[in-house]
Amino acid sequence: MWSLFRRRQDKEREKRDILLSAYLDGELAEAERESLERRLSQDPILRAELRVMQRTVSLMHELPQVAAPRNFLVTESMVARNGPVSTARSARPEPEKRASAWAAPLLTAATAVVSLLFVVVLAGDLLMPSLGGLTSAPAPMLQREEAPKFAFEAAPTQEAKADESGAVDLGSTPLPPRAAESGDADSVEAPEMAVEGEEVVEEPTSAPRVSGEGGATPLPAGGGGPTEETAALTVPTVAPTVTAVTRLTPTIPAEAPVVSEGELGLVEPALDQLDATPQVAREHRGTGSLGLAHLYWTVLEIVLGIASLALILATIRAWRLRHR
Amino acid sequence: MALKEMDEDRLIQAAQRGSLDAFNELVLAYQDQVYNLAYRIMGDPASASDATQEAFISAYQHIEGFRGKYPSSFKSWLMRIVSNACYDELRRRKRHPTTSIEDFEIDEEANPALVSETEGPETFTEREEMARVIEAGIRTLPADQRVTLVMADVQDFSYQEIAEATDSPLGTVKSRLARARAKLRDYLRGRGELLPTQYRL
Repeated sequence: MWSLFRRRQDKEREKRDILLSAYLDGELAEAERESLERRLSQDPILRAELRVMQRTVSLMHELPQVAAPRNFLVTESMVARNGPVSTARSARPEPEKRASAWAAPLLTAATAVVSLLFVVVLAGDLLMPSLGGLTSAPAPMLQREEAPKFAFEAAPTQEAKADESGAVDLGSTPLPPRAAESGDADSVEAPEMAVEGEEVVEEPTSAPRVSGEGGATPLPAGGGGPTEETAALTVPTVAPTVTAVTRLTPTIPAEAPVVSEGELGLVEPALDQLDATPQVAREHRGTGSLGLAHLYWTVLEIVLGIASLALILATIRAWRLRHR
Repeated sequence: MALKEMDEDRLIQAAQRGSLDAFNELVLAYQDQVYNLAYRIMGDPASASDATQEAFISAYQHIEGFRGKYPSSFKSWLMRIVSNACYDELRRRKRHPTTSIEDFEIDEEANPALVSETEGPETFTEREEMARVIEAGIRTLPADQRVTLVMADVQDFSYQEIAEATDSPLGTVKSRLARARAKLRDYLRGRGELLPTQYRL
C-alpha cells in the first residue's frame, strides 16, 4: 500500500519535473505553458521547485570552458589507419565482421562434421582388419611368412654342402657367432640387413656370415675356392641376407650375378630401395587391390585431417572477429 | 580562433575536395569546443581526447556529405559527431563495465585546463570547486541522460537537434533531459555543503 502510494508520488514528481524542465527551455505547447503558469501563481512550493531547477540549469551553464590540452590535427596516416568509416553512430560493421556473424556458427558446424568424419575414417583404418591389419603389421608378416621358406630351402642345401665340403667350409673360416654384427659397423645399411638376416636365416649361418667377414678381412686365395663354391650353392635360398652383405664386400660381386639370376632377382631391388617397407612388401606379396584401397583410405585421412585443421583455425578466427 | 562564415565555407569546400590542410584549419577553430563537449560528457581528459580525435577523423572522412545532408551548421554537425562518439563509448563501457566507486566521487586531483580570462583567483577557485561537484554529479547519470544534459545545457542544442543527434524521438529527449536535471538537482541538494555559498541551490 505504502509502496503503491510512493510509486504514485514519484510519478507525479517526474511529471512535474518534465513540465518545469521543458518550461525553462520554452519547449511547452501554449496550452501547457498557460496551465503551468496558472498553477505557479497559486502554488509557492511549485514556484520553489522551478527556482531550484532553474538554478541547476544555470550551474551547468556556469561550468568553466575546458580548453583542448593539445591540437587534434588530422594526419594522412590517421585517416588511412582508421579506414573509410568511423563515425560512431553511422559506423556499420565491416563486411568481414558482418560475415563472421553467420560464418562463425556455420564454420563451427562444418568443423564438427568434418572432424567427426576424420575420426571415423581414422578409427576405421585402425580397427578394420582389411585396412588396419595391413597398416599395422606388414613387416612381421612378411618376415614370418618368408623366413620359414628360406629356412626350409636353406637347410637341405646347407646340409648337402656340409656333406660335400665338410670341415673345409667351417674350418677355413672359424667365425664367432656374432661376426656379421661386428662387420655391420662399417656400413649404414648393414644393421637393418644384418638383423633381418639373423631372423630369417637361423640355421645357415655359415654362408652369409662368411661373406660378411670376407668383406672385413679379405679371404686367403687358397680358402676362397671352396667358400665361393659353397656360397654359390647356398645363396639362392638365403638371398636376402646374402644380398645385403654383398654390398659391403669386394669379394662377393663375382657371386652376385649368380644370385640375381636365381629366383630372388626381384627381391634385391625391393630390399635395396627400402628395407621391407609395408607397401613394397605388400605389392611383392601380390596384395595389390588391398594396397590400392589402403592408399585411397590414407589419402582420405590426410585430406580430412587437413580440412579439419583448416576449419578449426577458420572457426577460431570467425568467433574472435565476432566478439571483437 | 574564430572563423568568419566566408572563410569557413571556403575551408569546408577545400576539405571536401580532399585538402587536409584546409580541414585542419577547421580543426584548430573548433577543437576547444569539441573537446569541451567531450570532456563534459566523458568526465576525464584521456577519454575526452580520444573522443575528440576520433570525431575529427570521422568528420574529415564524411565531410563530402556535409552540405545538404545536414541542415545545421558545421559546428552543430561536429558536435553531433563528437557526442555520438562519446555516447557509443559510454554504452560500450556499460556493456563491459570497469567502473569503480571512485568514478562517482569528486576527483580532487582532476586539473582540466579551465579557461579563466577575466575572473580573479578566488572566484576561479570557487568555480573550480563547483565544477568538480557538478562533474561528479554528471558522472552518476546514465549515458543517454548524460549526453542529453550536456548537449542541452553545455552546448545549448535545441530538443530537435538532440533528437537528431541521438536518434531519439522528441518526447524521449524531453523526458531524458528532465530526469537528468532532476537527478543532478537531487545530487547537488545532497552535497550542498561541498558547494561554495553562491552556488548552493
